[in-house]
Amino acid sequence: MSTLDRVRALDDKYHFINTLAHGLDTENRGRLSGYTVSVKDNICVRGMESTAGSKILEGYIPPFDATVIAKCRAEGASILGKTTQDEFGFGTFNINTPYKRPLNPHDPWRSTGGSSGGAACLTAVADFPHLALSESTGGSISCPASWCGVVGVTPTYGRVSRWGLIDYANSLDKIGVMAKTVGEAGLLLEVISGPDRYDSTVLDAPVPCYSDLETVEGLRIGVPEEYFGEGVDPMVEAKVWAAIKGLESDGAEVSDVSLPHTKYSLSSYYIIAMAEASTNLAKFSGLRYGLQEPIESDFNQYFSRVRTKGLGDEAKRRVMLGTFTRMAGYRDAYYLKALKVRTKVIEDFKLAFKGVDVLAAPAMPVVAPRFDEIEQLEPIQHYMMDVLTVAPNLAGIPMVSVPCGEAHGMPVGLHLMADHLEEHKLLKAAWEVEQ
Amino acid sequence: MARIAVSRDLVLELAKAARLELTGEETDRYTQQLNVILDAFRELDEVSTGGVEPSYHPIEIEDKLREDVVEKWQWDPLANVVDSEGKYIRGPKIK
Repeated sequence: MSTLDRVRALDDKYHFINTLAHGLDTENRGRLSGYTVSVKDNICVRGMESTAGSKILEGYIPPFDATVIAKCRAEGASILGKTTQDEFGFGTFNINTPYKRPLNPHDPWRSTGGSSGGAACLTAVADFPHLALSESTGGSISCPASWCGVVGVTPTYGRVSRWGLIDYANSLDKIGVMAKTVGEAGLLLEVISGPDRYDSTVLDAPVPCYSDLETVEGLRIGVPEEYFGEGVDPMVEAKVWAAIKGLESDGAEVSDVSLPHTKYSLSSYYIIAMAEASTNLAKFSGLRYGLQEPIESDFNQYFSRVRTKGLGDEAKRRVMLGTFTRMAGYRDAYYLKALKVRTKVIEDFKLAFKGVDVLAAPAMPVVAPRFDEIEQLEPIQHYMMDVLTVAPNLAGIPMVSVPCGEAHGMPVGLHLMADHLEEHKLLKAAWEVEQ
Repeated sequence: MARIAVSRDLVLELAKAARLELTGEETDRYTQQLNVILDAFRELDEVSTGGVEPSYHPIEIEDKLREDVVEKWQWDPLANVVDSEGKYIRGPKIK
């Protein structure tokens, strides 16, 4: 069976692909030679429908490759297709989309997590050489990687070019990677990192070797007290502690740390993310790409008609909330306040990293929930599920979720976080856990 | 931040600003949900931020400028436009 036929068969069962490539490139060259690379649907691939999981971009065929795609092709990767996601990344369960909702490969009645659900699902079930490009704004890599039992790396903000990414929140979006192993995730991260003349937010720092993983001996690991206890499933917590103890017995030094503003990161994150999303989504007006209707009436009526038809429920909610928090009279109290609290969250991390190299915590407070459980949740409860992932995303620090066992028969992810541009420390620790 | 009670009228104002049309049922639902969510955001009041600078980015971003030379895209920026005329996109009337 060809790889594409194999993907079709797996997709029939798990629903992770939005668009599949017509053929695979078999040219043998570069560091990714022999690998297929799947791409989250919000990253543009030339000639391949790229919807970001939204009806408003249905039919959009980018005439160009995002920088990360060009870098993968230059290293011999074959682009496999576009993976499912929550609309524009607005979700924790990959259910907020008019397209496919992927099923958790460990239990099809449960969510893969979101928003990069398709990427995590495919990474878990692929029985051929495969790596995934995904993206995180507030936890969209760590969450599905944790719930599907794969490795997910969110790099430092600015480590990887975002040119060609359909943006959600500019000060938070990061393109990252998923793979079955830490070594493979490091390889893909190495390929896509580094400067890009088309993205002025990319850092000029040199790209170290991320796939050469050494010992953790002497690595200082901090355990933030705020990431354990109330709201975290004790069985998840037990697996995470077992992994931390394992690192300690391998030579790492473990100590307690405190990140006192963790509690406030959820509100700060959602205010900033929604404010930025509401301006980013203003460009979807049904004129240049995606959903376009016969031109009738005046421009306000036309834009409203197209946007009402093309945007989903969660997108509308976030656009309205973001519009509110930026409104004259409320801006200082909500948006500006959230940005100041973000400064406090960043300061917490910077202080902690003076004493430790890596922070260790659960990636998600619970294992993947069932779809019928998710249906009972209010929007605010969906947001609260991100409580452990939003703070490092607000701070733009790199993080990895690495599988560390099972609870209730479902995968658990150990979340490792490091200071800006210290991905190599994270990957070393993750590799040790994987052993 | 002062407590804000989100009214139906405010939700309709937000929807209009965001170019969205809402049904009566949607307006009621979003009114209830926005009240709950914005109320939860008020927890930020507990954080003292006097003298704290806002972080618009998580890291320092320096301005980068390239040489001011003309470059031609290798692809057609109008490739996805359904209704165009020459180099122009046909759009709705501006009142």
